[in-house]
Amino acid sequence: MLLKMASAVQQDLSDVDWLVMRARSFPKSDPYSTKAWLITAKSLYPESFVFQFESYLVEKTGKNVDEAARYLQDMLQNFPNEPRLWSEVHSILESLQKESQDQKVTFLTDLFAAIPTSTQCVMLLRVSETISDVLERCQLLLLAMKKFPNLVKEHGLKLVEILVTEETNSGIVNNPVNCYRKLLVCDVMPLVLQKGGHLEVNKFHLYLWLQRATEFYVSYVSQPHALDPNAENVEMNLIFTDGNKSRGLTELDMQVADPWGSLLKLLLLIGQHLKWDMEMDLVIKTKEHQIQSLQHQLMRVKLHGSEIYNKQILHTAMVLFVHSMVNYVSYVDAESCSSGSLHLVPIVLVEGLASSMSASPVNPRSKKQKLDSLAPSIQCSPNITSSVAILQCFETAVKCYDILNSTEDMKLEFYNLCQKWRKETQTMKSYFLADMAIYQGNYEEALAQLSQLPATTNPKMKMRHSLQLAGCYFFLKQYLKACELVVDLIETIPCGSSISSLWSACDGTEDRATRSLLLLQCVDGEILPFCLQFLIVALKEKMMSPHRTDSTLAHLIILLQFDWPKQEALFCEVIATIQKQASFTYNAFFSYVHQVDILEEFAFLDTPEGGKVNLDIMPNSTKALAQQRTVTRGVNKGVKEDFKATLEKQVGSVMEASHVLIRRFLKEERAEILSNFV
Amino acid sequence: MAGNILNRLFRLNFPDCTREALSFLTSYISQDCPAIPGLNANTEQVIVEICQEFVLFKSVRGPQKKLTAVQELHLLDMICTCFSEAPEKSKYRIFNLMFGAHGDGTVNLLTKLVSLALSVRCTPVLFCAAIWMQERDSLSPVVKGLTQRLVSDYCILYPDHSNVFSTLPSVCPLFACNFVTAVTSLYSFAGIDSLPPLALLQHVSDWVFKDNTMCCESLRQAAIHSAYTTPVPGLTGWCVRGPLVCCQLKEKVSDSQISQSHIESLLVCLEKLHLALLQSLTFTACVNLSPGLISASDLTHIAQTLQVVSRPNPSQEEELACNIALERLAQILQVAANTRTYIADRGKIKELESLAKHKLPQNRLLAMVLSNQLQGIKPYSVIVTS
Repeated sequence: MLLKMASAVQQDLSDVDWLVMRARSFPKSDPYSTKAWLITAKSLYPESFVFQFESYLVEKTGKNVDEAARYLQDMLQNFPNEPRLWSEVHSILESLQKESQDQKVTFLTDLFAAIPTSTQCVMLLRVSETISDVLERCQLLLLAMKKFPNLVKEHGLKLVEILVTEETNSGIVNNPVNCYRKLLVCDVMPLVLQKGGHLEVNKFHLYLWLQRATEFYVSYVSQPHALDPNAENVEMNLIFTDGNKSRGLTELDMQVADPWGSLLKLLLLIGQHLKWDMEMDLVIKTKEHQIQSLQHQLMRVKLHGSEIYNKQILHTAMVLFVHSMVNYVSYVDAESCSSGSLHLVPIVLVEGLASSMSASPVNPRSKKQKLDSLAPSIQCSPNITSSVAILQCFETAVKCYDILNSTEDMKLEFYNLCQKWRKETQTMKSYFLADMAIYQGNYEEALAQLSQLPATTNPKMKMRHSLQLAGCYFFLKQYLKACELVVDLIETIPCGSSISSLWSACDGTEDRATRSLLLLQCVDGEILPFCLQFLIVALKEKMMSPHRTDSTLAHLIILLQFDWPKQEALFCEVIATIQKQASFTYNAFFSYVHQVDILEEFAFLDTPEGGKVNLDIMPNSTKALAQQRTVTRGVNKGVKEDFKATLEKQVGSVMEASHVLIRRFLKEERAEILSNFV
Repeated sequence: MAGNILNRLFRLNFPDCTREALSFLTSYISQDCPAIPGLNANTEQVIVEICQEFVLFKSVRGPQKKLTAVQELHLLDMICTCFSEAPEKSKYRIFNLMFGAHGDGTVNLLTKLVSLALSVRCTPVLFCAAIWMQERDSLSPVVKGLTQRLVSDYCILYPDHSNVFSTLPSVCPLFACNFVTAVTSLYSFAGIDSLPPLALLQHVSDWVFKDNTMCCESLRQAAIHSAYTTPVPGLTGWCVRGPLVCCQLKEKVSDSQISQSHIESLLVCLEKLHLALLQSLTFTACVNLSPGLISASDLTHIAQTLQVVSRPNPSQEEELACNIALERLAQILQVAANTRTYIADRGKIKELESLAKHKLPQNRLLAMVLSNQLQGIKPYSVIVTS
């Protein structure tokens, strides 16, 4: 019955459809019968595509690579206009671009491999012509060129052009990290430059290529958390896919393994095409070697002074600049910079405090002159492990920046090259420029750069910011602003932090002919001693001026207790000043001075040998008492005894830890301290 | 001096006499049978006598010398070695001298020799035996006898997968080809009593499936040895009648020795064999070796035998099986015609058509193929695929 019904349905089918139906009617476990029917059907209808395709599908299902490849090859020859065939080819080519271990993908890849090269080539080109999505088409063309490098000559430049046009049309050109740029810079350019032989390209195009590449890589490395696979990055997704999931590359596809290596390689390749004077086989050398060689080459052609080298200088300096700048800033802004994720403590460059006296900006010599003749030295905190590398990056960046600003033309070109940088990159540049201005003693410029930095919530970065601002104000002689910043900064440091003494570099004992800067880690243990030293130097500055008060001297003495007796020399200067003025009034003295040596020194000041200084340091003003008790001598005597007793009592009492004492002092006397600088 | 050869051999014992005799025969035949000095006439006679006395041990003079089983094995081994070492052009002449036209008393020894040659993969002996089979006609009783022995040695006594058998087409394709032809006449698959052993069917379907040119090996020799038969008609008969016979067999499972799974295995082998035949036809067509593999009369004959096998008032299962049979016939017919395997004889096709119309159940594919054939011989188109 069932049989009859089935056959009734079958009667209505055309012969061809019936044959297809019969061939498909066998279970997958019986490929023999299916194939037998298909052979017969093909024999009956040799011009019919459907049986060929069915045969192909059977072999594909059976995972018979060679047979399937043979059918495919035949169909491509005999039925070149069948849409189903081309959609199959399309899916094969798609699987070639995946790096999946999926069985289906591997099979299709093997299938492609089993097809003769000439046919592969036809497949790739034909399919790439039919794809409407530009990105997809470019990817396929790229694949074709990778597999068949002799296609590069014909299609390479065309592909570059398509990508550039599409990037412009898509409107995402403002963000250099987009899918078209990625394909262009990371895949197409190297391929075309390597395999394209002699390129029929205007050399200005090559400069443009290099500019696009530099823009891409510098933006790529400066984008937030680009390399963190766990980071959710909605913004990035939006950019890559241009709001449309099917267009664009996946986040994984957007990743670049070795951005700097790639950029350097591109620079070298383009350099070769432009016949730049370069080491021949630089491409295969290590990155360190490449950078060094480029630096030397840069200096060499710079010395030559000929205009024809301008472009080479510009682009080489540019690449080296962004490389060293980004690298340096990755240490500065450790958190928001992708490549710096390994060293999470930011570093801060500050003016060394010892040199403040002689190298203050009132010095009439111009900064430029100073930099050329006597480059300031930078002392690094011993806690910074990669200090050599950091300093090298900084130096290179400074050198390249100078070169890029050495002539008006160069300046303009450099300005243009930086125009399309994304916000993050511009911020990096500001970080660097601020440090460079500080390094060059150009404090107004430094303040300007610092003011352009985005607000941060990271306490370490805040600390860094305040410290640099304070430094600038200090050297601009705006002591009040400077010290206010520093006192506030100290407030933010929790009391429990372990404090080490500032290492010897800023003890102020070294040669004062050259300026010296400090590179510190933004950790409490390094920042707090620096801040205290900062206040000491500020107070000392005040002490030297005619506007000093007894409070200035007293505050200085209190602060010098920190890390006593390291700064005994300065203490002696203060004492000498007190002796010279023969009187000293500071009624909070016993609240904050506990150091035995200092107390003894004051006891001595009171004696005839000590100069019989008129000390008014008791909590209740001696002067006031004296005024009350001028009647008899004996009263004064009592005051003297009070002083001695208080001194002895102070020596006997348990000492507060000096840094706790000083913090209490800074807190309680904040207004007093700042009033020194009004 | 050479007249002494007989005397000298008679003085030697086995196996020395045989070794000497074989080496003499080889060198004599290889030198294009020179006249033996001292023997004016009857050179031929002497040679034959040497062969009879010292190789075949069928004495015309004295009492029959009887070899022990071990000695006989030794003898067969020496013959195999002799064929392996003899110059190419002399091999078949030596073979012909031993097992040629001189009576069938030597078939027993030949059978043992071939059996040994199979197991030691001695290609020259197998090749000569294949030519011998072809000249005697693969369907002749003598050849059938030899085939029967080999099947029982390799497929029935040890039904487990035989390595010797499975690689046969690569050791000697011509032998495999003629052996299969003989096997199809030995087991016609025309009824329950002529089923091929399962192991044999497995081997045969495997051979044809793996080597699409095996079936035309005898055809390739046709230029040298005018007579030939090919395995294709016999195998087609198997594939066509097989499903129906198996169906009838299933109904008798209860009172036969054959199990249900055994029948299923036979059917699977037939499916594979059928595909292998179609592939062989298309493949050999590509290298222009297909013409003559099967004829229109062969196909008509198969259709007739199918009619004989099918019973009146068939069960539904039988109807289905018969349908498969007709479809297979149609497929072979179509592919063979399209590859110009047989000369399209309009008369024969007509005959087949009337047979299909009046004597056999209706079948859409067969009708389609036949009408396609009768529409005129299609232009020969090379089947590129498969």
